[in-house]
Amino acid sequence: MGLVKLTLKIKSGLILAGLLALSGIASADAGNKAGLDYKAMVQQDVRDFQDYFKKRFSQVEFSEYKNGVYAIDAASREQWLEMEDFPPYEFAVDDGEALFETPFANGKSYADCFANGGESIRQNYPYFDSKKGEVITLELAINNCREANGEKPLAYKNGALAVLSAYMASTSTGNVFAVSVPDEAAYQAYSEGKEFFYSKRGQLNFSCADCHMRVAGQKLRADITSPALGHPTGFPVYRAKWEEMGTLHRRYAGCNKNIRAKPLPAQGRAYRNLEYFQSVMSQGLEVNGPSSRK
Amino acid sequence: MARLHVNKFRLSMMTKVSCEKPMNKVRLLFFIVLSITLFSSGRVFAGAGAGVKPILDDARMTLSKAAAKGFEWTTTHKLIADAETALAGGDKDKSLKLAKAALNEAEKSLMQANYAEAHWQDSIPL
Repeated sequence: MGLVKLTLKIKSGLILAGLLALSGIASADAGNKAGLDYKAMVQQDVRDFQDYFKKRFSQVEFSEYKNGVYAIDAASREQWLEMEDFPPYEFAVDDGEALFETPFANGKSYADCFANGGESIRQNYPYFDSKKGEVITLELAINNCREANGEKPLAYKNGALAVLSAYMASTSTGNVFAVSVPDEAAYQAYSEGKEFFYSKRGQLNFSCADCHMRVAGQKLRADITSPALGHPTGFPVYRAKWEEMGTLHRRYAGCNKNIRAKPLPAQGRAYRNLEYFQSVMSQGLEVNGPSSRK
Repeated sequence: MARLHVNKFRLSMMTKVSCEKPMNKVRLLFFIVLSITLFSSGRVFAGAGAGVKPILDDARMTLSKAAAKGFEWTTTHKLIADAETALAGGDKDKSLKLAKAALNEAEKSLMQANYAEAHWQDSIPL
């Protein structure tokens, strides 16, 4: 009988320990739906994405991807370096600084809206605002700041907003991108951006990944396509084709037009989520905006 | 009622029969109603232009579904606009051709959107 009682006690003890262990696991996963570890999933995506380019262009240093196509095409790089002797975005930075320092009608300024007075913060954008439940890009934050201070929002693709963004990026040069996906809602936005990136669209049936992963470094008509890794780091850019500064969402719209897909609104949900995904994929690279492109 | 279900073959047969035997009142009434219906709907002898508007409506509706998913093509809206212009100008054949092309594109863009929703992960080159 004693042996039977001992066996029962051991069994009940094991069951109790098992239940406790399970409850421990459950409580640890309380913040994650169905026990998913979003941060780990995102980090796996980042590793896979960056490894793809490291294998594809094994001779290219990781830090060089911030330079877009100039990281992988020697001939284009040579021309670009010559252009950088007299950077075409220099005036834009000056204009942006002047705008940044001009007070609003209510006496406040852009510096009042941002952490660290708006300096050296580009690497933190875009981020997921859990209260608003949406991705906030730097350009959207600039316009939010204006509207909060009774000013009209600026157009999103070029002009004053692009030069303001250029100035703010210039104060962050060399800082490493630190865009994270902190929770389930952020992961949802990140996933939407990821889905956009890999979805074929337009009459030509191309995805972002088709041009900027599969055939990156190859010619599409007269142009060599840039690697997707590092896409957001240099924006806003002075583009020779535009003959002026433009934002990343302007470039997204241009890419969509190229494949005969109707562009979506700049700073709309879809493009902001795409920028979020691309910025997460580019983590570890330095901010080098504004920059110049062909 | 099943006997009243008519197709071209049966119509011709019934016409032959009617030559041999006097048609009963129900059949005669049916032919009158059928003739009025077909002519009033304009689908029998109508020209190409009459079919354009339903196709354009379909193209617009399908395109709006694709656009709502973010998959509108840059070319489709212009096809619809050109079809409308041709129709307004009285060029029914051109209008019909453009309307059909617009509907075809709209359907393909919607198909693309639905396919992408279900299979976008297949496009990850990792």
